Amino acid sequence: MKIRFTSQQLKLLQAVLDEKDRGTNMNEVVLAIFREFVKQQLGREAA
Amino acid sequence: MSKIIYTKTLDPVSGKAIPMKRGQTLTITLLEGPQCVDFNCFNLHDYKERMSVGHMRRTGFRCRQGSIVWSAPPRYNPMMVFTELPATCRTDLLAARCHATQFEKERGYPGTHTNCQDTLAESIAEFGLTPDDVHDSLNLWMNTGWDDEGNFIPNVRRNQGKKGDQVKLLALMDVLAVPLICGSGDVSNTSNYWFRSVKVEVTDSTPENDAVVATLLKKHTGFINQRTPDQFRVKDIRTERDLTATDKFEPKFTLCPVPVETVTVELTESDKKNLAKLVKRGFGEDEEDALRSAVMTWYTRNRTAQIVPETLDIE
Ligand SMILES: [Zn+2]
Repeated sequence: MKIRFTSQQLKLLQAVLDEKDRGTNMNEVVLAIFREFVKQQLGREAA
Repeated sequence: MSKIIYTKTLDPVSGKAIPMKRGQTLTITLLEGPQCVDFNCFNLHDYKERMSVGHMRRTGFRCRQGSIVWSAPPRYNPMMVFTELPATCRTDLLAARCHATQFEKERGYPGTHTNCQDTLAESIAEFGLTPDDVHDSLNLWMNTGWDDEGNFIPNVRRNQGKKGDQVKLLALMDVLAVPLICGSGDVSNTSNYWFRSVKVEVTDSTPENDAVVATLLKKHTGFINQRTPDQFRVKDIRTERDLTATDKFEPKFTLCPVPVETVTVELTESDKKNLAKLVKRGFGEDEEDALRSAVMTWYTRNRTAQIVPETLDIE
């Protein structure tokens, strides 16, 4: 799936990528963040 | 004891523009009882830099000990800090300032009623500033409120100020501080239908206050976006009143058009189900919108400082 981000959004997310504990490229980091968010947001209702 | 370098009693209805140096403290004392005091603040060396009550509101609609008097962006400098603010001094950041037309239009006052716009203008005129240089005022001892429908309640609650109440504002830069007696006092609860005198006093810096200044400057300055006029595209202050467009002007916005990049992710079956659930719950117009919103909401929740009232947390 393709997701568009503004260059500014990616600049902020770059700092998360630099932390290196959610992946080694932006695709992995975006997916990891999405999954963390889903856990926060949907809780036990998450698939 | 710090040295008193200026003292004056402000009688109704008057004000005073007081030059202050960084590290000095302005003390405003209620001499007789409840009295609303309006306040304006300028950079002493550049009058175009002035307090922005609108930006002060970002941390709440009232000030407290530790609250910063901010100048308007793009300067956004800490101008002063409340080092003392008694509970009986309710502060108001919503009421702007009273003005003569308001009393004429709303109350049918025949003529010019005393008002903060005119008192501020008269006070700053001593420094060559015009009535247009008056800005939204920080209001001390003004017990206004609001409700959750967004209604402003300017005039229902009585002033809680007590004789002897003192507010202290420590200058974090050289400022022109302008306290004054609010002119609406005799026709509203703002000052409980009366006018009373207040004392204003400036005291010199002390080692303790210098330490507070140093700590707060370290915390609140040094950002690359706190700009100075030499960084402005238009540096000169316009003198003609008539506005005309500059020939062949090309705006240089920060980002326009906004660059967009695409990130590709491989979603599992459960990722897809969760994403569909988010869309169904109105978390996005479509799957791309929901996924982007999810990622950026996570960022906002986990990597963004909370907006909270400033405190005087000096170690
Ligand atoms: Zn007023």
